[in-house]
Amino acid sequence: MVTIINAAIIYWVLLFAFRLIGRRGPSLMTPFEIILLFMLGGMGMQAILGADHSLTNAILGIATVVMMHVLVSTLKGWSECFGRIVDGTPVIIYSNGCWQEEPMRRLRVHLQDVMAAARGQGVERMEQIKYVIVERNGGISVLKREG
Amino acid sequence: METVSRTEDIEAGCDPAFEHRWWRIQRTVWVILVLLLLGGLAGVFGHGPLSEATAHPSGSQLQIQYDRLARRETPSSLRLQLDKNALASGRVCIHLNRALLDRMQLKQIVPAPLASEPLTDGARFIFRTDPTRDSATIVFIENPTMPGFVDAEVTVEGAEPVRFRQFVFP
Repeated sequence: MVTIINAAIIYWVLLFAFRLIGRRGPSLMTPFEIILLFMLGGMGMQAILGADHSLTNAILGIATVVMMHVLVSTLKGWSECFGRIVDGTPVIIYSNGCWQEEPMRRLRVHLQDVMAAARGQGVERMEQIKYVIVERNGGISVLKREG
Repeated sequence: METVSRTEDIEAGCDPAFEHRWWRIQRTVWVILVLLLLGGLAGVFGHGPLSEATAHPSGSQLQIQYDRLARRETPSSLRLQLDKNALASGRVCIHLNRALLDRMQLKQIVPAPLASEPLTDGARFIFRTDPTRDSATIVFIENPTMPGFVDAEVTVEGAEPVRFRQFVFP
């Protein structure tokens, strides 16, 4: 019983911890940020399993996390508001020649990150860019000007 | 069907008002987390200055140092300091109540008792003592098993029980 309760609590704690860290998709992560993810996961795992290293306990922990994730996905489908809380919304950080500095500061996205994403999408110069959007998954979409 | 809101001339589902509100929530939670960390350093969640406590009723031959705040499955110590009156007979008998034994599970006793005896309301431990000494310390290492409050009671035979309360974090 304790494993199921702990796994459910840790799931929600990690869900909101990642939201609080900020939105940085895998492509924007530094090697240290990837290590940080593993650290958080490892600390959560110890609290879930405790001293009980049995197969039964591991299966209960995994089943709880899987069902929590299914529940969150279902709730996101039911409630748009819940989806926004869990995933956020896309944020425009560059629009027709203007950088939106406040959203960039909040999302901790730097010009270098944007240019790296732009190069990945075949954009060579700033003049070619119409919009830059930070997506819910932390990825950066660069929309080119027409013509 | 879910609709995607339009901002400027693109349909991206942006909601700047929500993002602004979320940013305020995020900053508030950061402040709460800093307070949580300061509380952790101070021992509000156990293992720190605020979690250590002493029970020493006036006139008692027993003084107990314990963790007011402990954590589940994390060892915690109960230090019993006996004065010379308790050591005078060369033998001391200590009784721990049932709540303490059930919820705090003893892992180790230092020094080891000469004998221990299970009772319906707890257990009794008998230790050899040196009557020439002014004081002696017995340490019980506990391993809290259940979160919540524990109303502990420790009694030296022939004296008034010393009562104290511990809280175990999950």
